[in-house]
Amino acid sequence: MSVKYPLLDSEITLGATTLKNRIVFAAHLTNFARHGEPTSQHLAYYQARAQGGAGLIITEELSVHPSDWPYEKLIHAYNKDVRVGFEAITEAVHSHGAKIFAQINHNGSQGSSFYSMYALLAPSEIPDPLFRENPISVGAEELNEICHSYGSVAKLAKESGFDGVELQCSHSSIVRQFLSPLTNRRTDRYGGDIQGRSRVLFEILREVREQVGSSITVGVRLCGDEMLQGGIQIEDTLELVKLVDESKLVDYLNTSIGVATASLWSIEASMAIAPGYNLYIPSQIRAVTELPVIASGRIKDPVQAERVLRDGQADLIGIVRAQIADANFANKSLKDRDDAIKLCLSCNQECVGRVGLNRWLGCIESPSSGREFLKQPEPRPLYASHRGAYAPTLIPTKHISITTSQRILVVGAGPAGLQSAVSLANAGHRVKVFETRSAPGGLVTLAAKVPARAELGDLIRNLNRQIRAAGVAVRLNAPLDVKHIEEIGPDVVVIASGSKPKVPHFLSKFNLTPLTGEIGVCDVVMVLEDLAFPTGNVIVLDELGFHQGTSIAELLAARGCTVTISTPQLYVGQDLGVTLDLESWNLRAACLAIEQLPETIVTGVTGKTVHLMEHITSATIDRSFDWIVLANHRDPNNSLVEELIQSGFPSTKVHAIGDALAPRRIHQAIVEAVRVSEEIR
Amino acid sequence: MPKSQVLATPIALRDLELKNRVVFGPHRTNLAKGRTPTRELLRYYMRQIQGGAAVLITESASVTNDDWPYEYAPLAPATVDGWKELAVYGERHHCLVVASLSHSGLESASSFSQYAVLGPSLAPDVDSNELPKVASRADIVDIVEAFTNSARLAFEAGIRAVEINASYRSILRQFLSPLTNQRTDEYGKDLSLFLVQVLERIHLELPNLILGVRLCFDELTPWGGIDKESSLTTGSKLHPFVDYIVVTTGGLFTKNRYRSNFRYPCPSHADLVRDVKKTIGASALVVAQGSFLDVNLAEVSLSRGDCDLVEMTRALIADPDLVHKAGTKGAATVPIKPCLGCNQRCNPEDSRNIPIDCIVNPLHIGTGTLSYLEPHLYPKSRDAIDKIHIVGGGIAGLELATLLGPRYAEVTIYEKERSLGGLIALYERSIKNSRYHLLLSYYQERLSSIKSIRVSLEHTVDSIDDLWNLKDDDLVVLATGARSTPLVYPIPQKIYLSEHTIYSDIESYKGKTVAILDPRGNTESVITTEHIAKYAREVYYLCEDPAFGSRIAQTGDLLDSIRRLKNLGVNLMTFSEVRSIDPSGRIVLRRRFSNESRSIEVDLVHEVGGRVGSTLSTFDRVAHVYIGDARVARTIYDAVTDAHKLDLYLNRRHT
Repeated sequence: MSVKYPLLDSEITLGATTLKNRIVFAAHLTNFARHGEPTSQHLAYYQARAQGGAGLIITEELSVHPSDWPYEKLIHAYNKDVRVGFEAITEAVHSHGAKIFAQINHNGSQGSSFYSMYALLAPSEIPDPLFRENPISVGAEELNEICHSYGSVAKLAKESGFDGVELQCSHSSIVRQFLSPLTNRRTDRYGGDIQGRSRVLFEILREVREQVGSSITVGVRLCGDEMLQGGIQIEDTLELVKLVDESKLVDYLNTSIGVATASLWSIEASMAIAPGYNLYIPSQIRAVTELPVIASGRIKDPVQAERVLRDGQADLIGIVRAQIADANFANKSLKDRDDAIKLCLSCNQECVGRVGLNRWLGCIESPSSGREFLKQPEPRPLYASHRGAYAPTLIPTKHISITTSQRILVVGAGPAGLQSAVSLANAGHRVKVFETRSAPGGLVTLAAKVPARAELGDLIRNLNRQIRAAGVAVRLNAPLDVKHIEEIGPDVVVIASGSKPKVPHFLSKFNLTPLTGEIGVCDVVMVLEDLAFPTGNVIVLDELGFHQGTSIAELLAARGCTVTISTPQLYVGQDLGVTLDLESWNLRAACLAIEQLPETIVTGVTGKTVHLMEHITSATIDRSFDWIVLANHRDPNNSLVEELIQSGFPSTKVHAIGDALAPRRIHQAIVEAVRVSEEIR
Repeated sequence: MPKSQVLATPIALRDLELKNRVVFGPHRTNLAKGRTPTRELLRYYMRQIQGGAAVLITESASVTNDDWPYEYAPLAPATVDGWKELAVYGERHHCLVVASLSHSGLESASSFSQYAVLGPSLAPDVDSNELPKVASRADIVDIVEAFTNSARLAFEAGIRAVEINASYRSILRQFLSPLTNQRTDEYGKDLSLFLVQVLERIHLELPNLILGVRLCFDELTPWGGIDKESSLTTGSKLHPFVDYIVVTTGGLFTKNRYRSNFRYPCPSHADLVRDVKKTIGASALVVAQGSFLDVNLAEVSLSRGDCDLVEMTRALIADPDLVHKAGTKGAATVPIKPCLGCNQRCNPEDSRNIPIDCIVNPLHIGTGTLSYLEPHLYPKSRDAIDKIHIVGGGIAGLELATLLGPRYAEVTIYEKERSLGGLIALYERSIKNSRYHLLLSYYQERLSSIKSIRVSLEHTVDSIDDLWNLKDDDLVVLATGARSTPLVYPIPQKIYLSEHTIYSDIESYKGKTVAILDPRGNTESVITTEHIAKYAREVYYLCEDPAFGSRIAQTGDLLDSIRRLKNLGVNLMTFSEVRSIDPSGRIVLRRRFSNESRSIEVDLVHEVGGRVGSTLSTFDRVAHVYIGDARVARTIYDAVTDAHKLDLYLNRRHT
């Protein structure tokens, strides 16, 4: 029993199922499915979280009907063949003492006909804001068939060993579309007041109960607030909860916020939105029902989870991203080893963002997340048809022979350097890290200085902890040259020395201390390193489209500068969309009166005049600024590689990784750092 | 249509005789899985081989594991079995199957391989914006080796010819282009060195393999990049190694010009092809590429001697029987279904992995896609249907008539307007270079050649009494199109500008101020906005998206359409949320995710795509179904697929 988190570590019963603790790995998309079937990638992924101590796992949505195929890698649970895979998954999860529910769903108008070739079905002929396809308003015949399909998939779930089923009635679901006045404009008995709008839900529930009886748990996931004008609000949901309660058809309530297509940013909120931002939903629901309630929403550490339980805001905690980042989150929490948790950053880059782009779910700081199946001695496909379908098997995984301990020098203590030091030390090598700056973390530590980006720094906190645990010495303020390296005499050198600033073609040099009449010129890093202090009228020239430009614009505006941000792209912050940061950045930018100039390039700078061109129509504008801040691609800082090889160091013993190889993002740095540790034997 | 003379004549390629001059080019299909060709992909190719093209070039296969440009990009070693099967099949039909080999370099993505992408220099791709690792000499040696090994694998699989991609998404093109190659070593001094090394090595090691190269001759970026002069010099260096050269355009900043949409000239660069033929045509066959969307365009270039072969990929996707239909003797009896050059479904370049398709020739409708849960589409019974009454002569009705005509004794189309074509007939008039009229001519020709089809124009059908000679066993198909109405925004009727009015009553908004509310961001958004802007005094275009045309990137018209609209003076107000619309024409807006509000005053308001299906209760007494927009308002593709689904359903025997 956990000393610090006793409530989190306590049992709870949901209908027919008793859970060992309150930690739920709630439903989320993974893109692991192949040919509509669950895979061994699913199995290994869920198994790892079960092994990691989660009390309950709820699968990603299982589609109940062929008319529903919104994205490519959906599990088609109406196809009875999936049973084989489900049985393997439930058995694996049960073997670790965890329970597993199947989430079942039909996405209705929040779908696409591109894969299914069927017209979409929905309560009313209203297109979804993301998918934008007009659906057909369903009649009695279609409704009947859909209800039946829920029932038969629930039955299949029961027979395949699931402990329960959860009806998705929130984010993306035909049931939510019926519940919401925005998407339900029907005038028959399925429309109108909440009684009418919820009729479908209860028809489905009755059908499901008929099929599964009371031997497994049945829950519903309800949307507490669609975050849309005219949409479902908490009052509507409270009314619905009463109806659900009275029906006696349901064993627990899961909760959510937002609509997966129109207000996704509120569902999987990034670090820019405060943790626990949506607890008003479960807490108000819990106040009006006897049923156990699950809360979720950026709850990423056990302290916060325990407090939610203690405050009576919920009975269970849905923890997804934190368990993606660290599969052992539950065990570490409940054994009071929470200092060892690899905290989720809520960066949304490789989980939410990657999945949104139809790619497998991953994690920026744990490259093995979602790839657990590759660690198995021989990843066995659950279905014959999946053989060879796992693209990764085409890249032969390196078999690590017995490592002979080597002396390894890591140059640079940014994310690439720290991660490689951790991985190499854990593989048995003797590692030393040298860093030029006075603090570890490289550009990440700097990027985390901007208010809304603070949690990015948890990456370095996590790595520092692992560095300490591995007993690796990190020397700060310690620049290295070839002579030093020769004196140290390592067997292998890992160059993780990051990047250096680059002067763009329209400028001749940086100017950190402009005289009167001169324009100041610096890049984002120089501002964050306190090497440059832009004041007055500032233009941020953003060619990256990610956080660099938008963060610095925000920081400088908050410091009192008048800030303009320009980009050649079609809009500012083009890559913030996938991580769901575009909305909240715009909100902050509007408050700070940041001017946005999209589709704009710089053709030259004369004195304090910046010559801008709107590149679509070639219209030119000249504007005067006090400072130019560049958010541009940097150059790799890897001259040591050549110098070492010139001095006779064997080229096979020098590895450049991360930005020193090519300046890119954190994920690439981490992946390359982990890989280098596998390559050095 | 001119008789195809040269097109159908054979030509020698080394020791082979190609049966005609038509080439099916390599393109992304998304039909491979796990980098391996699937049965579906092979069937797709086999259909083309049956159709009669002389040369079929398979989807470019990556030569190295870490080059993984898109999820289902074939990988050369994983493609061997597919090549084997296609080689045999091609041989049987006298079609030369060519294996295209490629390395995408910096135009690849690290997201699948999890390896850094490679490039000549530190210049990122404009789409991914990801900096490449600068290729070392060792990397270059490895890639030359990989090209050679892959060519050997193909050759050993029975493939007679290999094509090296130095064009669309290719590291070899990136080395050829000063836009991406800023190296100071020998590969920077001689930009063609890498390409020459690859070709030379394959030629030396596999002298019996026919070798082609797909070469970019113009990146169409006047400020830098590959131009005609540099590429002709490159081209003339290649003749010792290659048997044919495919002449392409488009580069890093102009990917959309590789297979340009219909707004660009067809063919897109015939003059360039001619110059290439003049310069290097003596030593290698010259294959013309670039929007040869019609047989007569191909014939013109061939008969002038401007090229030896013509790549007609998109035209063949729209009609795989193009070669047969073009025929040598007499005029074609069955017209060729024309490619619209729309690029909507045949260029599946985004991350969704949607299988390649064609809006006028749907490729994936089969008995497997029949479902009884397709509301309003299928009649209760398909037995003993005698006659078909199709109400509405838009795309859905026309396509259905051509499908059912040959099988039923009587198929009647009732059209209330004076001419056929529905919405696309309206669009046709307002789009420059539109190819819709070709589709309408195709239908006209088909209708007049099928004896059982009758067309009744200016024939309004309000009830079953308006149908000719209706019998109990008849099937009424309602293809009446959609009804215009605001669907997403509450636009007061008084100021609502319906889609129909936009085309039929230009006077009603000429010289006025119009707001266009766009919840779609698709091709229709472009067409509508452009059309209104030509006549209205002032146009406010409002959408919630951060940019105009969020759903049209694949058509290659994204930047072009923004440019056209800006030049027309349209106020593009993106990121705009409509808060209220007053009957007086006052619209209150909020910039999304801010508290910045503003209002505009307009005379009329249009909603893009504001139409709903129109089901009529007056037909309840007879068997009737709905197809196309009448069923639910969607796209041309959906109108055509509805017709195909209904045809399949009616045609399928009970099992």
